[in-house]
Amino acid sequence: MSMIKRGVSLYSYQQEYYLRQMNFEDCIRAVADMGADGVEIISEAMIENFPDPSQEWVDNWFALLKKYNCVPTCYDAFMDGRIRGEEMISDDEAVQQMERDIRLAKRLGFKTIRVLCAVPLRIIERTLPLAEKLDIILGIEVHSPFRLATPWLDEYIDFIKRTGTKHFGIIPDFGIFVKRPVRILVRKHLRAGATPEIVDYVCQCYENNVPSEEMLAKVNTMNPNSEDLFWANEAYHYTYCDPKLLAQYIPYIVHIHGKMYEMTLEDGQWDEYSIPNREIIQVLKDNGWEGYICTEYEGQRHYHDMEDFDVDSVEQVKHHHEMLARYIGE
Amino acid sequence: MFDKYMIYDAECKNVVKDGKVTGFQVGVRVTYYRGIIIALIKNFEVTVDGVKYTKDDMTFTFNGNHTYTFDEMFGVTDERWGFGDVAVITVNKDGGLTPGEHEIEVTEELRVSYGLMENYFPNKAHWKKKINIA
Repeated sequence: MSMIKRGVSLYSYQQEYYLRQMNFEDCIRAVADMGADGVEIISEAMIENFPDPSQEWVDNWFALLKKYNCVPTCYDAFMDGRIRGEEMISDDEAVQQMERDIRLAKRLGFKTIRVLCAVPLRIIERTLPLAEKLDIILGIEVHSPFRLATPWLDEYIDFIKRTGTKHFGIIPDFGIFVKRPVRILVRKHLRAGATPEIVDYVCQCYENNVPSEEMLAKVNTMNPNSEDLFWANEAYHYTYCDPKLLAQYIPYIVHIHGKMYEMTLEDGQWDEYSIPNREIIQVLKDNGWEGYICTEYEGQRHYHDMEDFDVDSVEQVKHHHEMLARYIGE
Repeated sequence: MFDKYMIYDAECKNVVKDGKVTGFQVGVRVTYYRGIIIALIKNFEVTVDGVKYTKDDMTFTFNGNHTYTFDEMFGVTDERWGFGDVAVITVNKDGGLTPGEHEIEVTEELRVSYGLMENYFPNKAHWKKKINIA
């Protein structure tokens, strides 16, 4: 039996929470409604009075988890690099922000913290003693435009191998497996005035790994408007890694973000339009990976230009979980 | 992101002090997927019927009654503007806005960054809509 478990990052319900259509309890109930039990939280979105929630809030958090038979999985931490205008924070301040998050994650019962991909190893090294003391696992997010099998990632992996630490690992985000451009984003650019032929051409180039310089050179001969050029650049900010590359990282993967932009129905089955989930999950299963895949629904922002349409995030996540359960083989 | 939800109509109104209209207010929400320390608020610009007001003409009120000028918000890390919470921008303008419909445009810029990344792109949102002033 597969040891892959399903969860939801409450990031997925950001729009409904923001508009006060769902409260915190509704978000947790929605996770349980998917037949999932893992709850991931965006610290600075939903923790009241962050970073010092009242004891009442903390008690309620544990009561809600119990009520809906859920467990805390991953705490998503941020790092504000620019707190005095454009001046960069010091290493000491970076460490302080991470230590603040480690303490709060512990207080809320989390085992794992998502560390932003832009946090350098030297900061991780300085915060590991506290993580080890409180038994919290730090996971650096492998998030587009960063990729698997790169010197950037090697530096972190080498550190884990060298030190043997059990409190640091990686959190791949499925956004590094975008095989074809995000369709709802493409449609947003078309609504904003992009030229269909150019948009299609850029999509084809992305899917066929045409180098960006070559693609841009051709686009520039097609009489592009500003929206076309914006898309031509943006498309290549997405990333596609071969899912097979995951195999070599299995022991270091402490958690996974199941990024999702749009669920589509084909032959009665739901799939994510851009991301080859079947292949990815097969690699995880074949290599005996254990842990939580938490859905991270990110499609909502691509409708924010439309006055009279709101996507239903709960519905999107529900279809994502139907898909996950199918591929995991529950 | 959240551009179309940024302007919060119910808080758009004139400000009356001692029987005189001293300005107008615009309700706004954070255009990012989390709450932020107010030090990250880089800029707001409000344009009404083509007339532009800059941050020097404004104060920013959040968490009920915490009011700051934009200069005062610089470097403040112990106050937060919550995710989805409506804040109010007060624009000082004798007489405020005439009752009726106005076209309002708001630009919000936040200094959100991913940790110690050298390159960062402030979050910028913009929306234009019609509002009614009572």
